[in-house]
Amino acid sequence: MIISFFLNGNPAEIDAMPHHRSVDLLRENFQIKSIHQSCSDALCGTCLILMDDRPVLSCLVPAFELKFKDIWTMEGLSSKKSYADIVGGYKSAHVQLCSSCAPARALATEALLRQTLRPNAEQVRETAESVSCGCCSTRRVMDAILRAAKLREKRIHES
Amino acid sequence: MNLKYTSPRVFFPKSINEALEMNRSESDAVFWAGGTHLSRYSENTTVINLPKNVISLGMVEELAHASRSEHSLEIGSMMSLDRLAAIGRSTLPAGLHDSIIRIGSRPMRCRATIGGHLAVKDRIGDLKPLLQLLETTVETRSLKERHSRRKALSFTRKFPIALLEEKPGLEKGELICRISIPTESWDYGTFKKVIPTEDKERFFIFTALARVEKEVLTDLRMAFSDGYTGVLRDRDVEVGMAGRPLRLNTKELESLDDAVDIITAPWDKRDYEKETAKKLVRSFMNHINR
Amino acid sequence: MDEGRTLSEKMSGRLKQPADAGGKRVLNGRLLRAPAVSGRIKSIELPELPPGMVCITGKDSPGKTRFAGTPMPLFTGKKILWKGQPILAAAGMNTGEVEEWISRVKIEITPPEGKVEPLVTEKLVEKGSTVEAFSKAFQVIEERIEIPQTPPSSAAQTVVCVKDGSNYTIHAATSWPGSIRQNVAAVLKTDKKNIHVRTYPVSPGSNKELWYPTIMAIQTALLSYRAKKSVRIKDTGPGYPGGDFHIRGAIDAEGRITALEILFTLFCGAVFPLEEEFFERVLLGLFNIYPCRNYSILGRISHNASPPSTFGPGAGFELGFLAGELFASRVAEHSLSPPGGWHRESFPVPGQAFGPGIVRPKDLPMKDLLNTALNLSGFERKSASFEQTRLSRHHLESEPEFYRGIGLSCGWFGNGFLSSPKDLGSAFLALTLNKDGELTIEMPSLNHGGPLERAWSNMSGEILGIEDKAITFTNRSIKVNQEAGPSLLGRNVSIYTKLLELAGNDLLKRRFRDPLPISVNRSRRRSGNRSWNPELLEGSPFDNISWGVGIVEIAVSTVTMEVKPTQIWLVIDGGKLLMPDFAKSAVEISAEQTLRWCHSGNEQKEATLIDIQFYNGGNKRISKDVSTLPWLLIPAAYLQAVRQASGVIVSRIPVTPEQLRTGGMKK
Repeated sequence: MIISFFLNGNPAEIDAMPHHRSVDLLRENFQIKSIHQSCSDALCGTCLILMDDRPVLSCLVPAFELKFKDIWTMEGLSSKKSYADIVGGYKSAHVQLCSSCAPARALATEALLRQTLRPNAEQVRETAESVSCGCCSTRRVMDAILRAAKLREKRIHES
Repeated sequence: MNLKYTSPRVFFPKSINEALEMNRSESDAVFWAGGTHLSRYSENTTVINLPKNVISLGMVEELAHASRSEHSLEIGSMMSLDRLAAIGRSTLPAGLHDSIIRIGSRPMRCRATIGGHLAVKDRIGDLKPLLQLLETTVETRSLKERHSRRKALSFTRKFPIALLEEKPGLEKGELICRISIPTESWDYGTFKKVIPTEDKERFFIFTALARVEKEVLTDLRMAFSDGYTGVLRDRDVEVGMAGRPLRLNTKELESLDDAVDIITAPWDKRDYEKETAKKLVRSFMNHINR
Repeated sequence: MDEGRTLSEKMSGRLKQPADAGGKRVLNGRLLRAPAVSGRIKSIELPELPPGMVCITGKDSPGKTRFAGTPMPLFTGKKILWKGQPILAAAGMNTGEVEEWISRVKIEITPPEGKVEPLVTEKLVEKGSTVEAFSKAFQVIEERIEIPQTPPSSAAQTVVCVKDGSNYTIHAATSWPGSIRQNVAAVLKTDKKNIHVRTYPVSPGSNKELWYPTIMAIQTALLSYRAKKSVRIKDTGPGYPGGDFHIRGAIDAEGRITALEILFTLFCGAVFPLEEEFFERVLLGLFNIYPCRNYSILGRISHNASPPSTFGPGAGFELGFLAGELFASRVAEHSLSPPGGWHRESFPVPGQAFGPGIVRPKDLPMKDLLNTALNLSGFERKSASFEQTRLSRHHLESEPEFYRGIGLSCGWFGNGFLSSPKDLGSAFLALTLNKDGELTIEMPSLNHGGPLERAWSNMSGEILGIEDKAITFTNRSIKVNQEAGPSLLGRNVSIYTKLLELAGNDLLKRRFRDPLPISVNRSRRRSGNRSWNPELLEGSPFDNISWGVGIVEIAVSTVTMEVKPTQIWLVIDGGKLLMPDFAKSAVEISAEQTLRWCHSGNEQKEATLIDIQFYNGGNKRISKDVSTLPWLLIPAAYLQAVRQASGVIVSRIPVTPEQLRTGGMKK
């Protein structure tokens, strides 16, 4: 079926099987390399995308669900000025991320900051646990998210 | 050719009626809400194992609406669990926020819908026990054939959520459209999900609500679920506890222990669950007794 | 090397991964796995291959692949060795098409006649006279612990073979590129110079990428050879071994361990590469640091029909230390001294060997580490008070919400390999300073902008007075890839840092003497006459030893029996810390992962506080691994704490609420 949607702000269209997993479809057909399918049970979170501003696991999203949706991945988000807040937050918290989960962590953080600039402890923990990877400590990621929120708030106030 | 790899047909209705009509014309079609259950339990292959005909409800605006009246929250069945949680701990009835955020990760809850959660048949959703205690009702729509006319008649049914567990439950082609959660205030509310072993699929839920007026327990409701056996509840025990002055004495607490033993009898050989159920009830009652 | 830029590249997805190699024209490979635990394959009926698709089976593979002498089959032969053993691999342009074709393969399996018993190998290690020691024992103490084998990991890995004429470049996250190069060349019957390995960072704090990427590399290379195109395979990885330990110890009147009788069985799957190394590390872990001259240990390896395991985080130490330290804590409990005091008195004195006969370093820091940990945590006071609560709980009118417990554990980690095969111990690196003053560091397994690479870059920069941006890392050299052993078990930090320092200083000396470019090679080979006697278990088995003490405090809910670890204290001697922040972060990550290994079924809303202190005294010239120690320190301390809080003698990890409930809260 023909599926039209927006990908990183640009219109996109593909003729695909409706039950094709979005993670594979986006990787193979749109060269979206920031998402990975690293597990087989929808737990790792490394396939995270923003769908109409909400973080979702693209391994659980069949292609037909992309229809008319606004999809953002780190390929698009990293070209925005606000991306620096997230990198800054993680850098100052000394979080060592692996290449596999780093984009998903950035995207989960971006999703939270779109929701609130003053997240509570529960929201921060949930965001940190949206991605499950053994490369970093949850405590440090939580610290990084809070630092990113502060940077984002500062940037907004200054502008 | 392995059928799994043949392309399913997907329909995108824009209204409830259209969805019901599509379901009527494709008798083997299934309604697709968030799809988390179907997708998650599909094999780890490049395609998700879908039924031959799928009716995607994502574009039915009527199902995404939510409103709040004086006495209840009226929620469209396509509201995601994430949006439901976002209503906030202080606005949602006691324990509901806690129970929602214990379901999967946030990205899972962004996809999972309240309607889908209630409609899954092979497992009792984690929210069901608490929603039952809150006296939640569901509104469903379906089409009934009439012999004399070409067009089927639209049929609306509103019933307590507990009936979803009983036969006939949700009938074929019947679509959950709206969930009505009473927002009466409760003085005490709890939700606890425990995973006793390494097997994440084995769990049990205890949830309870209570009202206290002038040191008298005026209303007590409690339910248990292991996700499969059914929502375990005994209204007679609840009624029997109402009107008792606080603090409850040892004898009253012990009789409650016995009652919990009977309520959880279907968990026959699961000693951990049965014992912990009693402890959880005791802990809740101790909290009220304070 | 700009940390922010690297992080930005990672987060944006621009930093390449193995799966991104080869571009759009790479074929996608999939494996068909055995559906049965055991049996014989009677027939395989392959559907007609669509155009552009290729398939390989056991018949196409030239036999077994070897890892330092251990054979490992690529595909099933006639006999199925474990459930999920690969039967065939197929590759094509369209993944769905490949999966669909595989789903139509028909396999007929003849079930085995009768029950299939696992193949068990055993080894008896004895010294001194246990009979005499037990006959004179003041008391005899026993301990038992069961650690289940973990199933294959659900985390997927991707390996890509990019074919360019007769050249094959394997893209993989591996800690042993030499094994890939050697085995792929052998299987394709081609010269090693045609095989190149591009390595990607491996999972931090684990040793899992040992043999598995090599198997995937050979499968992709064979498909690639058959298809004459590049091929990618994505697959899930192996799990970790488990074990069952029974320890019986003779204790004298002073509370010293005079003899040990141990029976243990390791469960490692149908085949287990480098099992000798693993076995010996388990063995040494059982003694921990306490001297013992009389012992009789019967160790078994059970080759059951489960998938092959890979090295766990301590390559066997995590099992041995858990059992050994749990036993030691029992001894401490039964002694007249407080637990901390027993440990302090039981450390080897100068001139005395530790464990079965390991040479004690002159500057053994254990007493200092222990004192620091005890003071930081208030261990003795808390332990006494929690114990008092445990003993007096039947007098309490009402049960509190939680009972608390605290546990203590001492340990050490041997950096490098124990076993003798030469290719495990070898390490190579090369530095080249070119005419523009740029430095190239060639090492076998790279960390791609990771903290260790940054630390090495800083270190080399400081020695040679070169700016960070003029330093690049590569692993293209055939020699470093071909001959170096696996970069795990702390070898990266302990051996490569030393080699890099030596090579840097050598280069510095020659810099103003010789014309540029100058190249300096440094290598390390494990000599045959090492000071370790594997028969007598005496001498110095490791390149370096990291030391540590861990304390864990927990609370057990009296309602649900869920365990909530409240705080952990870790005091560690890691020698010269290359990047203290990174070292701390690495220890923190391991500590969190270890806790997940220790218990299950928790609804933990607050993170456990982890207090990490690095030892300031001792030898600061060498760098040692710090990230493995939490795996050796936390589990035993955790179990002691759970036992104290719950009053239940838990003998299995992960600890579950059901275990504690059905064990009965002893009052």
